Amino acid sequence: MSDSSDRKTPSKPGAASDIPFLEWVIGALGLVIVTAVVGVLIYEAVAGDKSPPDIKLTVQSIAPLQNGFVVKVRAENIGGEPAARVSITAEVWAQSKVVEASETQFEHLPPHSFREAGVFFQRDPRPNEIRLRALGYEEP
Amino acid sequence: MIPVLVGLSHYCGFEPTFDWQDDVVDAFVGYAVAFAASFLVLALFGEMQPGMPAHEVVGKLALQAVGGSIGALLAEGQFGMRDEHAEEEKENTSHAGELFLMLVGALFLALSIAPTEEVALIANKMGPAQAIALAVLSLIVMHAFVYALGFRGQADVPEGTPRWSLFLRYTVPGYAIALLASVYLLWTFGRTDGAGVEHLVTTAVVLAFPASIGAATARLLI
Repeated sequence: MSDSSDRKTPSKPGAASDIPFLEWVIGALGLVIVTAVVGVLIYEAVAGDKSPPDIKLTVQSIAPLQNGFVVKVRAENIGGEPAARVSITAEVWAQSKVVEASETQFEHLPPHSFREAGVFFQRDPRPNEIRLRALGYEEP
Repeated sequence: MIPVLVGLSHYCGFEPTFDWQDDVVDAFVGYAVAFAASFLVLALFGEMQPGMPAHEVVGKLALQAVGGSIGALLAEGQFGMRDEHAEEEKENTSHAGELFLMLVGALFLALSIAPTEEVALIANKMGPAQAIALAVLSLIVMHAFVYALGFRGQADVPEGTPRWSLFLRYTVPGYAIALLASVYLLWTFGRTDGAGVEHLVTTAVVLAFPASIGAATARLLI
């Protein structure tokens, strides 16, 4: 801010020749963030996982409700492609027979991401085995 | 949110302010006005029902009031008489102030888009190559605004400043701010829960497109 030669209004901050060091630091910081974001995307484009959606289903918890039971299900897409409208069924098995079946749907399952949902049952599924299965999906 | 409002009051609030206490008072006045206006509008649209739990009422009002309060503080710049004080304040905006205004612009524009399902939906449809192209487009559009509009008649950008210098000092940090604001808003609305890195980055780039335009044009709004 001392003696900038080519300006009409001297002694204002952010002058031409002597740009404060801090501005370059912030610029560099911004560059790091932007480069990191673009870097992740380039990596995904070049070497990213391009495998089809692979839905891993796990029972998170079972809770009694006023009128039945809810089984909370976690769906994780361990594949590299996104899936939309993933429908799943949950079956309660006892003595190698399906006692009760229920189903639900996940709107979007992006790659390497998880979502949670719940399926309702009328009878207590806790003493029995719960089998989860993804039926199908739509490409977004 | 309050610190952003205090800062905004400093740069363009609805009355000339003289010290930071004034700015804090104005920020709260702006928030209160927005809170009341939000209640009125939500009640008109039937979104405020007698049977609603308190946390839902407060939550809806608080969320609506965020955008509303920024609008309240911007009102002077939009409709008010431009007095000399405000003009002077604008002329003297420092580099940090410039970046702060970019943050406000990014939040203001992205706030109404972040809660929608469409952001994640679009991100799901896009491949990484398209996301890169969108990021590059955002940077180009931002730089065009920064270069052509943002600094028109500005004393702190003398002639002969190389373009790359402006690009590195204003456009790149501005886009980084748009990205961070996008991630913050996505996180606020629970859109980052359970998301993988790739999906998170793509979603942020999608939301950062409008956010970056908001950031670059903040100077026109304010």
